[in-house]
Amino acid sequence: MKKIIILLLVFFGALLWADEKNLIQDPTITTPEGGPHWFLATTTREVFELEKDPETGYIYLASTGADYSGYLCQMVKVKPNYRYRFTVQLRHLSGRALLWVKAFDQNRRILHYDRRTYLISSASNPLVPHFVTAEQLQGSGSTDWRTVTLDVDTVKADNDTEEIAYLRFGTGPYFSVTKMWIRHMSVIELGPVEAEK
Amino acid sequence: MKFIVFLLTVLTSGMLSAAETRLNILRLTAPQSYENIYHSDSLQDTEQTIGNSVGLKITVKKAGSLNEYTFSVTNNGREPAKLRFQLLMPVAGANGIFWDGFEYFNQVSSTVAPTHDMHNFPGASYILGKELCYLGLAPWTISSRFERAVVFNNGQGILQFEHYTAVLPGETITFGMISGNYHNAGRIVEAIDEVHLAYPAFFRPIEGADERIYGAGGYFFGSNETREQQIESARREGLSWEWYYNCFQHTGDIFPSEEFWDASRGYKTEISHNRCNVPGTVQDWLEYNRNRIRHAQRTTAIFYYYIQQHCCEDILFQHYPDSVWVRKDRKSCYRAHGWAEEGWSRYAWPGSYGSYGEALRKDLAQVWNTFDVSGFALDCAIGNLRCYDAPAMNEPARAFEDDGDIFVREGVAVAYNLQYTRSLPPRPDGRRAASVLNEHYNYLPAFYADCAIHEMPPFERTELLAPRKFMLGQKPFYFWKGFRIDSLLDWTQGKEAIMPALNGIIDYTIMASLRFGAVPAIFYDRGFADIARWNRTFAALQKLGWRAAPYAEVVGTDEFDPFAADAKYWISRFGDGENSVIVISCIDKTRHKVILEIQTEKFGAGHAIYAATDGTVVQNRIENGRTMVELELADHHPVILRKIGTGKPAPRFYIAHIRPVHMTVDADGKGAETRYYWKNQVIRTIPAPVKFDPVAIYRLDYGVDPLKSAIVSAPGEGEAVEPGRDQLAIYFEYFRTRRRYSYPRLWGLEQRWVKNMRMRKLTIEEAADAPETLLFAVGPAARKHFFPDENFTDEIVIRNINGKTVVAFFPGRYSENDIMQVFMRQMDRKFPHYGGISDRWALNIKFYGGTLDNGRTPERAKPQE
Repeated sequence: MKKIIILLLVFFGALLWADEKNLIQDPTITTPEGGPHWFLATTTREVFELEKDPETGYIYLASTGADYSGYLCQMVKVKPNYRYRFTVQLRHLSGRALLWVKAFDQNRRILHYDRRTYLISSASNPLVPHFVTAEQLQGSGSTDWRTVTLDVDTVKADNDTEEIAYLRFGTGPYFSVTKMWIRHMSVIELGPVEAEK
Repeated sequence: MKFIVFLLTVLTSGMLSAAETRLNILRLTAPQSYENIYHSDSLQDTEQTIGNSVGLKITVKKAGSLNEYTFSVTNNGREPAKLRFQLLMPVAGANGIFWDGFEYFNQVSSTVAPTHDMHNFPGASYILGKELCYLGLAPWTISSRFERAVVFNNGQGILQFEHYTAVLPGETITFGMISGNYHNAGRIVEAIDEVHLAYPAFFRPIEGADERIYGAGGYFFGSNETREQQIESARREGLSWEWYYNCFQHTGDIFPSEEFWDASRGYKTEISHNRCNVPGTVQDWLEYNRNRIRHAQRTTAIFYYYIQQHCCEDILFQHYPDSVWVRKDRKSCYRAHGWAEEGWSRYAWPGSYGSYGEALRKDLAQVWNTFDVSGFALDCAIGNLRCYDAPAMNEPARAFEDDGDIFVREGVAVAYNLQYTRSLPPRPDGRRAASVLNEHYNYLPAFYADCAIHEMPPFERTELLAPRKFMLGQKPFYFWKGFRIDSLLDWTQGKEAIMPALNGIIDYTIMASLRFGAVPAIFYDRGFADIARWNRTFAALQKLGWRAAPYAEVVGTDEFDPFAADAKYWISRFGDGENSVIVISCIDKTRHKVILEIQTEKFGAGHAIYAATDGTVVQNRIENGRTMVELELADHHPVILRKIGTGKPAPRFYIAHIRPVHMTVDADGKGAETRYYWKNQVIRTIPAPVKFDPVAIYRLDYGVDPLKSAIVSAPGEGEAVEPGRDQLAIYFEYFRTRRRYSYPRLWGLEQRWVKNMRMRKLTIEEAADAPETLLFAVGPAARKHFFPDENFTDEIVIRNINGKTVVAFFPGRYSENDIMQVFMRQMDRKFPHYGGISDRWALNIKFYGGTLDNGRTPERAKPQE
């Protein structure tokens, strides 16, 4: 019993420590829309379901069609030539999602900067097992909570003149019929990087 | 005796009296607070004042097997009357199945009150044993809000359905609700079927809709340089109707006006869907589209694309400020960029209220009056969003939230405009302006459109397939987009390892199309011979009409939801009575026998005898108004059972005397004659609609380098046989070019046509000395010249005349063009071409341009000449 209590203390302590350093505001996404921090970046809002579960407080994000992408985003003030770690705790139920980072200058003008990692889910696919085997599919079949990370450097692109002042961190459906749950996001500064010459 | 018959009717399938349905009317008095101003345990005709200031008139009548209650509500007060009309019906007991219009709740013993408000059929149902009850909106009711629940108190269950309406002072609003109660039911879908039967106008295409909507949709992907070839492309690919995409410059100005036109941007051609690529005037736009539509409609019904709720931001703010969409927060509005509108478009209210809706309808009428289109293609129908303030206060179908805020649902405007286009004056040939929907999230667009798209493959959002079909009823339904499996399969495993998965996906697509009554768009045909071969069957079944209640299940299974995701057997029904068809397939590929129990009496096909259209031997046994069909299933192969006759009803008390009836059907005999067999004896023959000798057609020598065939017609007569004559002329040019370049779109073939393979068009005089040895006599003068004393009807005739082979197409019940289409389909057997796979994944495993056919490894087809 003692061991469990100690482990729990360590776990929550680590979480507190992480959130102290976390550059994301409202990391548990208490207000996914309409608040000061989070917004859904998309061209077509009406085809996305963005809901907060009243019991758990977790965020459900789903696209109802395959022709649009939409990302739950937050703008974060960053230093140029630094490395940051973007971490998302999510359950990926179906479809294709993206962790996506875009950069902006001091005046919040968008720059030529694009960092991303794709997440593909083979879970809940109606083709499995009678038409396609799980092994023939791309991606993970797990729908459990997991932590996904993306490390990015704020080194400006060659065709940009302005330094990176803000990064927009986001995750959400990427042009597919996608369902996902999100419960926590964080961005942590990892330290300076040497810009490649 | 009459009483016994009556009693039996009630006990087997009849209705309970309207007394079973109760009514409460609740009025909002403060946020979240209601007072009950009316209660009735027995709904009947009445007219009275309730709650001091609300005039209420109720009229009760039958609608099919349902009771319909028409409510006419007048607000004689000074404030908006925010009213909940609550229909109630006691259920048979606990532990039944509740359906809330979208999903099932099984073993229900406590209150269930779902809040999900997308994709709902406007009704709710509960079944326990054979007791089925249903409450809902009369389909003609345009509602912004309805709620449903099953409520349990002390073990007593009540099914509940509510319609919300906000009636302004001095206003009268009329709407309808329905109830049904059945005592010999099997599944909840039977109640949905009853609603479809009672209100057919809402669940079938409008009379006069272009019949080509039953076939596959898609795009030509053509250009002004490929108009001649595109008619043959449409024939080969089965492009029955086109989603005539996004040809206007601005959203909100779908028939462009000079006022909003930017000549420097010009217009969009097919090759550039989202950006104007040809500078020009409105007149240039008009001429380009007139020409494009004139050519396209020769083979294909054209549905003119538009969106209702998106309007170019500048146009909206400057010209239609009263129609800006107002959201709940009163601050922001939905926007989109760079799609149908190159710049920003903004959500606008397009309903009966407001200047934008009026302008939109003027444009729609102008499109209909200007172009020979068959109707409209409405994108992003959605229908579910809420709009507040002025639009809500000015649309009678408004509702309210529990905090008192009044809103109107997007679908109210969409339905209004769909009804508007349907009521445009019909064409001289009787065609009415039908509408194809893309993505309906609400019943309103579905009830007022004529067909709809599931804008994704059949294996995505599968939980929406049945709800969408319930809303559409017998209206055609389409899978769109193509397979989209780039990021689905693990292509690194290589061609051989991935082949079974590809075949599995094709099997799934065919089976899902049959299960949900859908036609895959032509994007699924190109390069996939199996799907292309099924397309005519899919279209024929659409025309019969998909039914919500299959009334068939495999003996030994007990699925309360015939469309469940985990159902082993996929069973569907199309048509009623004489024309009924049952389709069954199995997700398990193992060969095994099943007995399918079909409740034929439930859909007017009592004692039906079924035969499988593919010749599979099936065994029928007729028993107590049911037909038990024993058949074998294997390899995902669907079996289509068609009613071919009526057996003798077996005496109910002499089950031992029921005789097995063995049936086979040969649907591919000479001249496509159909024969039905019983114990190896032909018991029924259905003559071929068009007589021809397939072997003789196959053996015709068309010639290659040089082509030995030509078309003969008298001046002015050949044109009457269109598009058949021009398709035949270009048959080999298209075939040869496509064999070399199977994957590019038409606009990529502009310089590649093998033009020396085009048949010459000769006059009768020129034919005698022509070098061609195979002549097609097209038109009455040519037929009379070559066959002066012969008169055939609905027949393809081939004769040797003076050293040349002459083929003629004799019309009768079918036109000469119809018969030419039959002929070319026979030619296709000798010169098959199903297109090439052009998806990105095909590059990965070196299938690009190849055809996947019948489970075989795709490979580039070799020319057969």
